[in-house]
Amino acid sequence: MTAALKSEFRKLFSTRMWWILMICAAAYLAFMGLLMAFSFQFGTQELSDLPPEAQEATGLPRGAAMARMIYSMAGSFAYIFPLLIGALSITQEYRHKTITPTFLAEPRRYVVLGAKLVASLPMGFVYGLVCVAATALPAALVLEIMGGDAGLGQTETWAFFGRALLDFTVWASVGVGLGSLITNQVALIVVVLAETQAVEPILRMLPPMIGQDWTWTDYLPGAVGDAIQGASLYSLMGMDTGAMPWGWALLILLGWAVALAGLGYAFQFRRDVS
Amino acid sequence: MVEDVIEVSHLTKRFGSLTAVEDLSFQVQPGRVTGFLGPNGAGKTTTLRLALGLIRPTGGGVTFDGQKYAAIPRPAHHIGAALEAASFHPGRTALAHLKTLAPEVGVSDKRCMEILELVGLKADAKRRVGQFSMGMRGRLGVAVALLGDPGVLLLDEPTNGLDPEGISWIRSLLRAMATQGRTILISSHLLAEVENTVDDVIIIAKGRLVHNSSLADLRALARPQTIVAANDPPALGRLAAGQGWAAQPLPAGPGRTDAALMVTGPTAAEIGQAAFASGLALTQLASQVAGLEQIFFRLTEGGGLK
Repeated sequence: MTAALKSEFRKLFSTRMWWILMICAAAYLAFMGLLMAFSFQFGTQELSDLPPEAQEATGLPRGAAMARMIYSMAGSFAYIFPLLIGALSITQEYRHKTITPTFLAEPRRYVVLGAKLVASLPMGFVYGLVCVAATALPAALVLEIMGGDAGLGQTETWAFFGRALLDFTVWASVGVGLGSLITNQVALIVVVLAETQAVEPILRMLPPMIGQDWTWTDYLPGAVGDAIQGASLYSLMGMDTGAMPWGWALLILLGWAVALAGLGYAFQFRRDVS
Repeated sequence: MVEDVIEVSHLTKRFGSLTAVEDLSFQVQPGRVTGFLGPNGAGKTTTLRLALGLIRPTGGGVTFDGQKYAAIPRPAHHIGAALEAASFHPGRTALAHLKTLAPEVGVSDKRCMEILELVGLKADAKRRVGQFSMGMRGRLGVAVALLGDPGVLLLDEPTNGLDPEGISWIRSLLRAMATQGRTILISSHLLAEVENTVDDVIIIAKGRLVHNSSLADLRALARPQTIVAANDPPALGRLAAGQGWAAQPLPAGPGRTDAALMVTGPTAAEIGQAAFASGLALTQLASQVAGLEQIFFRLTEGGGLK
């Protein structure tokens, strides 16, 4: 297993994809962080002329809580990046046929899949570090300059950063699980985009619309990912993510990774490679 | 070094209604280079992939020294394989590609560089494989196969894409490795490509074994063919019939105005003697090269020697 793990690490870091995808994620998040910090801080200052009750009625978080909500964009918007890097660690092997030498060197395919799952975790963690920093640094700077509260002095903010890192870490392994089930790269990218950008957001909007506050949609991977962070822009849209304790949410997201990998191993990963 | 015999026994693989390999049995001996031959689509690559556990057989199996590939610990240390011309990530360097495999094969990083030197890619070690020519990819594929210093080598169409220098390089490499007692199986769809490399030949067609012998025994199957023409064609016909030669009429063609016969069996010298003895003047007596390729076609097209 150690040897397989070492091989998988080397595969991840020996092509340019990991840092190209990371730069894309960081640039996107830095821009969004600046934009959101400016908009929310500006909005808050406009509202400050209103009586306190009216400000409460807007439902917008204030001060450090608002800062954390802005920082949470990292996980809410960019979890697709660790998801993709995990999934591509499998689909790239099929696409470039390196899966042949991989399975020749280690014919026990469950060892290969296990090593890919474990190797994805540190990669997800590094993505987390970069994505959270890329969101929070510019946003915190804007908040401080505009006279707001960046919340960096609060333990709660740092605990939030820690949970966001865990969120990113586990998302990479969810990607590996998905990749083992959908080994075709084009199909995988279509599924990832459809699920994260359309299917899940629409499903999660349904319960609040019909007046329910607890449903199975809380267990969808994106929803548990938000629950791990404990703060999300989605909560502004009435999708409460505070209900599930973050520890449970972390376990459920890990469960998604394991379940997808199990399905992938059973139905796809053991198939003939020709 | 362990002397590994590759044993293929009753190997069968069906893809849906298509039978790729059917009841295939043969042995590959150590210390010799064995050519695994057949036209495209005969089932060569499928057989190699079955042997290496990449695809699962419908029936039968392949063992190396009595063990299935997947049951061998660190198998790439004992069995090296190069299957397709391009199983590389184009963005990875040659050295990095070997290094991704080294831990599982069970060799050091130093060995990766040594093997690149052996296959003549030392100067290109840090170049991305995407910039490699077909010949360089072929060499890198061989490097992957040799990484674990294996006792058994399986190469699928190793001469594909190689330049003449590369072909001569791989020939001497395989010869040297066979001399060390290793078991070597190389596939090809062209007998001529491996004719100077192999000791033994295994020929398959439509997934079935059609021939298994030494190259010398295969050569012995060749029967000389001679084109014969005479100024008196009916007399030539009578001579052929009288001698009991297998003769086929050839139409007049370029460079030949008279009707001629393609005679199979006797040598040109025997034909000339017989014609002289019967007072027949020959206008053409051309010995055809009884090439192995011709036997190969005969074996693979008819599905076996008739």
